[in-house]
Order: sequence, then structure tokens, then C-alpha cells
Amino acid sequence: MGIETPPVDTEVQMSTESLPKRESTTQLSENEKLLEFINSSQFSLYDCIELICTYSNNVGIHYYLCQKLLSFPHSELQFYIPQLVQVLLTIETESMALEDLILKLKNENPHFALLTFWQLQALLADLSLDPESYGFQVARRVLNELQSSLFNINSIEDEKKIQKIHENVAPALVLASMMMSCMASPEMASMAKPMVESQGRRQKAYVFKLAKSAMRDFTKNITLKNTKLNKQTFYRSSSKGKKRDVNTISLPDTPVDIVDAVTTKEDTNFRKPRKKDEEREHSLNFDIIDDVGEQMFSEKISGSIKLPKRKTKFVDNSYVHKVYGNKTVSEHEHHELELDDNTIVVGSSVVNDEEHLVDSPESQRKKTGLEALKAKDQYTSSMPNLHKVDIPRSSASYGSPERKAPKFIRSNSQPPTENTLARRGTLTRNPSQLEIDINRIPISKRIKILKANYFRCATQFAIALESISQRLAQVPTEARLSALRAELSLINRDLPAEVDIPTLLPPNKKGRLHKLVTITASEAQVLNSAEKVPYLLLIEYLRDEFDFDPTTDDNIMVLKKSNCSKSTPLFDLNYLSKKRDRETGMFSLADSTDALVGDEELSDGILRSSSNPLQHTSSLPEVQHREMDLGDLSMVRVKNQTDAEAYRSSIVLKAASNVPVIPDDTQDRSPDLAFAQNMDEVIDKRSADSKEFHRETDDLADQMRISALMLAQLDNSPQQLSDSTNQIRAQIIASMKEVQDKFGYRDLEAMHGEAGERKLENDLKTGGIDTSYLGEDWNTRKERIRKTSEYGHLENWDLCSVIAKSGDDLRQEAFACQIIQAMAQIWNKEKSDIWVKKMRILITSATTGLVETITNAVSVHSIKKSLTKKMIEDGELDERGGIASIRDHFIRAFGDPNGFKFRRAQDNFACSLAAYSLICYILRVKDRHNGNIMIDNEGHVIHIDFGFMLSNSPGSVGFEAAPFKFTYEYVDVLGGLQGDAYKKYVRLMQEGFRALRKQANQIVSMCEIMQKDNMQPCFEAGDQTSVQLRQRFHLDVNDDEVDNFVETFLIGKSLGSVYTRLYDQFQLITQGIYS
Amino acid sequence: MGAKASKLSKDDLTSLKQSTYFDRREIQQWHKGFLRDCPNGYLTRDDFVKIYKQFFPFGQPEEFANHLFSVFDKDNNGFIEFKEFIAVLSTTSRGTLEEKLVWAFQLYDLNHDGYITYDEMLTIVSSVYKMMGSMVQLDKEETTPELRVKNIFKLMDKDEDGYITLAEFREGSKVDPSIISAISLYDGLV
Repeated sequence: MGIETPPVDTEVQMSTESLPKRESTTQLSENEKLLEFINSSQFSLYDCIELICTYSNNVGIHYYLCQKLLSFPHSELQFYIPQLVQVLLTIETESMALEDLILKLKNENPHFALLTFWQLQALLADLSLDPESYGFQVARRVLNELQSSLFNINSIEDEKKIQKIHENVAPALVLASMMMSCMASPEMASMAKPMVESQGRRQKAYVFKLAKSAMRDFTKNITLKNTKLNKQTFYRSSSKGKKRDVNTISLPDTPVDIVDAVTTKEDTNFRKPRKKDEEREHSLNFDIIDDVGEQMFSEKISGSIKLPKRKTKFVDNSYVHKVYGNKTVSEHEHHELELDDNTIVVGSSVVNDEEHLVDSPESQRKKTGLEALKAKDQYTSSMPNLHKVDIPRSSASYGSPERKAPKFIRSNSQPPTENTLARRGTLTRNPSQLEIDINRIPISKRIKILKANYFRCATQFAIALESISQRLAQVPTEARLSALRAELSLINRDLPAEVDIPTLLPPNKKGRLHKLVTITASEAQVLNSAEKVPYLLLIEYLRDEFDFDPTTDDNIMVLKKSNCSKSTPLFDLNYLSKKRDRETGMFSLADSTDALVGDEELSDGILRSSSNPLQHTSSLPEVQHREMDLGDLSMVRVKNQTDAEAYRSSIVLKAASNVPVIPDDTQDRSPDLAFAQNMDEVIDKRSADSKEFHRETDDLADQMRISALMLAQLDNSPQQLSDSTNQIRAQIIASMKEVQDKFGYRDLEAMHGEAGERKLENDLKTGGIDTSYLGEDWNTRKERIRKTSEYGHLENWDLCSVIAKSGDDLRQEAFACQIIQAMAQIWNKEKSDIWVKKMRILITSATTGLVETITNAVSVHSIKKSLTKKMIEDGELDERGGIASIRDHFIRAFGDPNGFKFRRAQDNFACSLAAYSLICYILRVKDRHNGNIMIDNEGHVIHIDFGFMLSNSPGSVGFEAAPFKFTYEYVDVLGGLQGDAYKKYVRLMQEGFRALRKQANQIVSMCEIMQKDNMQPCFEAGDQTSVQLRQRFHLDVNDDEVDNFVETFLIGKSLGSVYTRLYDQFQLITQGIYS
Repeated sequence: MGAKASKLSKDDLTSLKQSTYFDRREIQQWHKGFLRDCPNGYLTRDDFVKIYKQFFPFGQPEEFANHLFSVFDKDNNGFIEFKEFIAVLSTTSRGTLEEKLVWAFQLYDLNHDGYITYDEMLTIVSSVYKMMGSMVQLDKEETTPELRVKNIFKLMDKDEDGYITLAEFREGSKVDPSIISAISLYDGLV
């Protein structure tokens, strides 16, 4: 519209101003030229994105460009999602076109939808510091729309409705005039219509409105936390601010107006917009997002509420931490049940407040079991209030099916109220009536159901992986592997499912997606890291296994499943439908863990607390029954158990566990441990065999987890680590190892904790080169896994290797990979021999993501470290004779330096070294020690870890001043300065640099777009980041001088740079990274 | 904007409620929206041009915007106030077909004498064609304004006297399906 906005700097606006005075021909030819360019064949997708930035102030051009975007292939569009989202949030515009486009694409491409969703979620976390900013408002709005349309299977009806335009003058004016001018040209009306609609959707005032209500909600939630009323508020949060929601359970007088009595957590996420304003568009549903903001708010501002370490006046908060070792642990425990129980605890904390203030560690030790029990009851009472609200309703009314209704709903990303009501109605009916002919569902809706199912699976899969990582962080290093494998076997229970990994597993040309079938738990590895706990997963999948065609047999099955429970996505449905007839007997793992402090004085409490649930299962299931929240961990199936099962499991566990902490505990702890049984298979009518298998692994898995939790607890317990606790600790570890052996895992090697040692171990876990000293080759590993896999016989079976990371922001890494990929494309177009490894990263939130493992490669450091060791053993190297060189490795791996294999590897080395030399120079990639440089089984160099690039560097400035890392050792591999490989390297450098210079604008602009308001460290220099990037292209150097520039300035300055050597030595001394 | 300017007087509201198809609340909403987009409370010719340049960036919408402005500007004072705006919006978005056609006639009858001459029609059609630029694929037989005007006269000027009267305009528009569908294209949007 821009009526009142002052004209901005483009030609278009300028000439508008001077219109009365002069003929507008120049301006027009300007725009006509633009149009010509846009429609020309050389107009690239990236040009389009750039112009979208440039013309953000002209609604018409902006609209046209966004339409143009649609003409590019989805895979290309997907590549630029970070930029598109960034542009959407950072460039203010009157135009709705980009927003509309993104929402349109989400319908067409499920991966696009997911990636945008995650990307926005991540950005929203950054932006939530300033909830009134333009970016936050847009992010929130778009995320809401995405959310409701991805997960809400009923939204399709809404889409068909005509959307009224809002009170916007410009589109209204055009609308009026189109009607009048249609005699002159009827075509005109239809041409202008989409834009009128798009712009008509705009809501100017609402930014303000939204900000206001956001703030109000913040205050509300804060208030809530400090109110007893909060006891009735069910509150769920993931500690990463991924997804949160607020829910009140049927309390008319709660200050939270947000939810009606029937909806439950998950519903809140996806329920329809609040009907504050009459127009549907006005009432935005921003609960989730709001909650993210709220989460950030509470983390950043009202930290006292959540911070576990600080002693606050919310004492039983700290009490909780005492009992559970640490807040996060408790959260993790609950993950099984309700990821966010801790919030509840926090919420109710005020109640218990004063009396626990005195609960210092010592006094707590002295407390009797009874006291502990009482405290625990307070804990439990805080959460179960939810159930108290819940349960009367269910028990009073319809018994078991009804009781499940809330759970059922919660576990689904279902749209809210009327829906829910309908479902409840259905549920109370006889199950046999639930079967509805799927043919009666319109096709479009069937597709929608299938997609919603996929989105749910995919998002929850991501959440499950994240929560594992968080949980592992709480576990002592020694126990992590066992804990990881235990967690994974739980996840496996929900696989196969309609889930894949966008980006890492792209769909085929027909749009069919891969389907994950199982995670090979026994091959999973915890990677050693100083703080975070990344882990390696080998995921088995079936290529091109599913799509959203509602007529295929598989999908009909999916639909049927979803149908009998009335529009529930199947993922949880399995669980529920099976579950329907059973009694619930969920126990909070918290019950067990809080008891497991290892203090014998607590055993009384343990005894009582743990026996309680058992009784309840048999006698009072409704009262003590705890809700499970599948929404959080849908990956982890939960099943109910009967007393018999509980007993049986207790026996099993007794046998399996040698945990010596509480000698008489096995019996008592059984209900808790039986929780594992709760988690047990649901879909397991498959076969008796697999059932048995599952049961076994589940027991073990649970055993491991509990031991892990106990350990974490011991470590975190405020008590001094006395000899006895140390002893206990050792025993637990011993018993865990024992259990681990049952899994058939090799014992872990002792770790020294040194970076160098860790690196080697990680390398051997993730990759391998087929030599005597470098682990297992990927293909060998794959074949080995295939042989043992129950899906291995399927023709389209495949395996992918992924590293799951949590706690690190991977967006910079992803940006690096993207820009490197862009360079690779440039070289590709020039048909250059330059070789670049394609690396793929999936961002699932601001702090989580999945990284594709580079299989078949090992870091230079590891190569040297193992080779040195081997050579010393073989007597080829004197113990003091230094370190093995890359050339030594090449000779061992590829044979005679004059042989074909060696020369081919040497050539590969040159082609890839040229690529990464240029990349490191252009992107100013630093921290290039040998742990971050890999060599693959064909001799290619691959650089990883882009934590330091563009404007940030590690440590002091002096290091790594060379344009890139180019040591004499490399020259050595290349056959010396006169060698052919070296010459080729120089030639490729020149060729590659020339090619990059031609496309410098695109690379600079990719950076320019991203650097705005970006908190990633590589954009430390702000706007200067892209300016400096441009400088490194040396566009002032003439084309005919470029070759010389590359040879003397780039290569010359880098070769044998003292800085490079210094940095390597520094790394060797401080980190044990081999130079 | 002052507090006064931002509110419609009761009388204004009542009279607008009578003269338009909008209810009280809608009028107020639109009024709010109008003031938000035009804080001075009116639109000028330049504003019109700017708006059309935003929506039709690849054409020359100036002429058309100017003609259109004259239709809106009932009191001919050079400003479109809210009342003028809402009146047009009401008719064009919610009026009956007859009402719409009467309004549309005014756009073409440049000198308000009750007849559309060939020149008047050509002026408007040309301005529309200029505004569209190359963005619309036109019927092969109507690639120029002249050709289009010829067809319009063939359609509407039943007595072939070289003028189109309001009656002829109404009848002619109603028998042309493409015009009818274009008129109703935006139904329900406002």
C-alpha cells in the first residue's frame, strides 16, 4: 500500500514522486526491463530472491517475483529456505506475497513445510527477545498458520472458504475499479484478483494488537506460575522452547481463559484461533508460539522460576532438584510421562514453599522416609491435580474409554473444541460403531490426514531425538552408551512409521518419501564431546516407500487406523486403540527416581511410594492413574500393565539388576521398573517372537535407564560424595556394564578425555577407511547390518548414518554447508574438476539438528594418531621419530606412489584440496586443525566444523593468518612442487577462483541476506561481514592478473605459513590433536 | 491523528449506514482502516497513482488512476474522503448488478453528459490497456484499444448512433458473459 510511507530508495518510487513534472517513460522502461529480465532464461532462482529483497517496497513487483519463485523446482527452492525465511522476517514489506508463497508451498511439498516450520521455530527463539519486532510478529503468524494447517486435518475446509479482505484501502480501491473497468477489459479483473486477495489479507493494526496480547499472556503466565491456581494448570514445556502450551483443565475461575475444559495439552497447540475478533484471520492462534516466547521470557527474564541451580524462594523447586538430582533429570524422566512435569512442579512449588526452605541437604538426609514420602506426595499432588480434575470426570461418566479420551486427545495434534467434543462423543459410544467407511471421507481430506500423520511423526521424531540427547547429558559418561541404546530401543517400538529425515533423505522425483524402519540400536554410538552429547545413529530406511496417495493399500491402512478413532492421526492411535480395554497403570518414573537417592533412610518412603501405585493399579486405578503424554514422546510407546505383568517384570528386573544401592529394593521398585513394561510394545501383535524380543530389550533398556538416572542423581546430589556413595556409584556402573554386556555391546574403551583421543574415537565410530588401522569401512558396516536386520531382505532397504546434536546451534554450520554447496554448483557449472563433499544438515530447532555423517572418512588427526601408533609397533617409526605423515597414510592406503590407485588418490586429493583451499579463504574458515580436516577412502580432503568463519575466530587473533591451510605436508602428497598433482592443484585453484569471482555477487548476497539481525557468531561483524567477504574476491584485480594473484598471493602466502604451523602445534600441545 | 478525526460522528455513521450496504460495525472498521492507511483522512490523486503503480508495476496506470479518481471524487474537491470511498466500495462490492453498472457507466462517461462517445470509450480502454502493460494475454482480436472499442460498440451500441446510453450500457454488459463474470468475480470479498 505504502500510501503514507515515504517513498523508499528505488527508482519506482522516485519517479512516482516526480510524475506530474515529467514523462514517466524512463521509469517505465526501467520496470519493463526488469520484467524482461525476470522472464528471461538466465533469470536464476537466486536472482529472484535478491530482487524480492530489492523490491520489497513495491507490492506489485514483489508479488510478481514471488509468483515467479513458483516456477523453479522445489528442490531448488528448498535449498534456499534459510534465505526465504530470513527475508520474510527481516525485510519489512507491505506485501503479503512471500508469506502467501511460503504457505502455498507447504501444501505442495511436505519437506518444504517441515523445513520452514523448523527454521521458523528456530528463528522465533532468537526473535522472542523482542516480541514486538516485525520479525517476531511475522514468524509467529506464519508459524501459526503452518501449524494449524499441517497438523489440523480439518483446516482443508477453511481453505476453501472465501477469505474476506480486511479494511485495507489499496486493495479495496483496486477491487472497486476492477469492477468498473471490466467493460474495457474483462481479463483485467482476473489478473488483479489474486493480488487484491493477497493484499486484502493484510492486517495492519494487528501487529500492535498481537504484541499487546503477547505481553498480556506473558504476564498471565508469570502470574500463573506464582499462583496456587497453577496447580490446576497443566503446563508443558520442552526445555528448548520447542513446543509448549498452556492448558487449563476445566476451571472456570482460573485466570487462564485459554482452553476449555475438554481440550488437553496437545490440542492447545493446534486448536483454532481464539474468537476474539469476528474475522477468523483476526483471531490468531499463537499459543505455541506464544509459549515459545513465554519460555524465552521466563528463561531470560524471570529466571528464578526455572533455574535449577539458583536458590530461590521457590524452594520446593530446589527441593525437587534435590530429590531428583536436577531439574532436567526430572524432566527427562518425565519425558516418558509428561515431558514437562517439571514445570508443573515449579508451578506448584509455591505451595510447599516455606517448609522446604529449611530442607538443606543435611537436614534432608536426616529426614525420615515418611518425611520424604510426604514431600513426594506434594510433588505428586502437584502434578496429579491435573488428574484429579481429570479423573472424576472420567470415572463419573463413562469409564475406561472416556477416561482415555483426554489422553487420546492430548496425544494428538488435533484441532480443538468442536472436534474434540465430537471425538469424545464418539469415544463414549460402542467401539464397534467407530468404524467408518473411509470412502466417505473426501479424498482431499484423506490426503490431509495422511500428511498430518507424517508431520506429526516427523516432528515428534525430532523431539524424541532431542530429548534423548538431553537425557544423556544427565548421565555419567560411562553409562551414556547404554542409556542411549536403551532409549533407542524404546524409539524403535514406534518404527516403522511414516517418517523420514528431510534434507538428509530427499524424496525421489515422483515425490515418494523414504520411510524409516528402525534405528540400529546396537550400532548407535555416543560421541565424545567436552560438554554436549552428540550421538551417532544408523537408521535403516526403505527408499521411496511412501507417499500421500490415499488409494494405496498402505495408506488405506493408515487411514483406517486413523478412522476408527475418529480423525486421529495414526501414530498414537495404535497405542490407544490397543490400549482401550486395558486398565491404566502409569507410574511416574519420578516416583522411583526420587526414591533412589541411595540413602537408606529413604527406603521407607520408597517402599511406600512404590507400593502405592501397585495397589492403585489393582484397586484404585482412577485415583492414582497418571496421564501419559504421548504428545511429547510419541516415539515411545507406552502400554499399560496389569498386576501380573508388573510382578513378572519385577522378577525379570530382579534378575537383571544387580543394582546394589538398596538391597531390598527390587520388590519395591518393581512398579517403577515396570514402567518399562508400561512402555512396552503396543503394536506388538506382530509376532510372538518379536514380542518376546521386545520385552527383553525393554527390560534391559529400562534397567539401564534407571541405573543411569540413579547415577546422575548421585552425581548431582548435594551431598558430599562420600566413600560409600562412590562405592555405590562404582557398583551401579559395574551393573550397567553387565547389562550392557547382555545387549552384546563391546566394552567401552577407557577414555582420557583429551580432545585428541576423543576425536579418534569419534572418527572410528562415525566413519572408517578400509585399512588395518582405521576402523570399519562403511559398505562393510552396511552389509553387516543388513544381514542382521529384519528388513534387510527388502530390496529398497538402505542405511543412513546421522549424528544427532542437541545444545548446539547448528544454523551456522548449516549456512556454511549451504554456501559451500552454492560454490560447488558454480564449479559444477564450469565443469571444473574441483571436488566438494556435499554435506547435509537438518535444523530442527535453535539448538538441535541432525548432521549427515561423513562415512568413509577419518580426520587427519586420527589417521596420524593411529598410523603413528601402528608404525611404532611395526618398528617403522622410532618412538621419538615423530608423527606419521599424510603421505605415509596414502602409501599404506593406496599403495605404490607410481601405481594407479595412488595416483588417482593423489588426483582426488588435489581436486578437493583446491576446493577447500578456496572455500576456507573465501569464507575465512578458521580453526583448521587436523581434527577438522578429514580424508576419505578415495583420498579426498573434506573440511568439517565451521564454527569459526566469516567474522569470528577462535581465541587470539594472531593464529591462522594465512589465507588457508596449505602445509608442506600437502605438497608432499601432491608429489612436490614440481609434481603433476601440485600443478593441477594450482590450475584448479586459478580456475576455481575465476569461477567464483564471476558469481561473487550471489555468494556475497547470500551472506548479506543472512547477516541481518542474525545472532550467529559468524556474523559478528554485522553488515561488515558481507563487505569483507566481497573484498576477499578481490574484484579489483583484473581478470588476466587473477592467475598470478592466486599463485603468489593465495598459495604463496599460505604455503608453509608459520601461522598454520603454530596453530597446529598449539592444538597438539593443548588438545592432543596431531599436527 | 487526533482523537476527533479518528471517530465518525454519530450522524455520519447513521447516514452512511442508510446509504451503504455496510452495517455500523463494518463502517467503523473500514473507517479505522481508512485512517490507518490515510492518516490525513483523505486520498489525493497522487495517492491513487501510487496505489495503482504498486498493483500494476509493469504498466502505466497513471491515466487510469486519474480517471478513476474523478469518479470517486463526487464533490470534485481533489480529495477522496472516507464517505466518498465507502460509497463506491459499498456499491461495487455489495450492490446489485444494476447498481454496479450505473456506477461503472460514470467511469466511461467522462463529461457526464449521459452518453459514452467513441472517444470517451477509447480514452478509458487505452488507459486500461496501458495499465495492464504486457501482463495480460489478450484476445487476438482485441490486441489494441481500438479493436476492443470497436467490439464494445458492436456489443452495446444497439442503435449504432455512435453513442452508448446508460440503458445500452446496461443491456450490453448483461449479455456479455465475460463482463458479467468479471463483475461478479470479487463478490463476497468485502
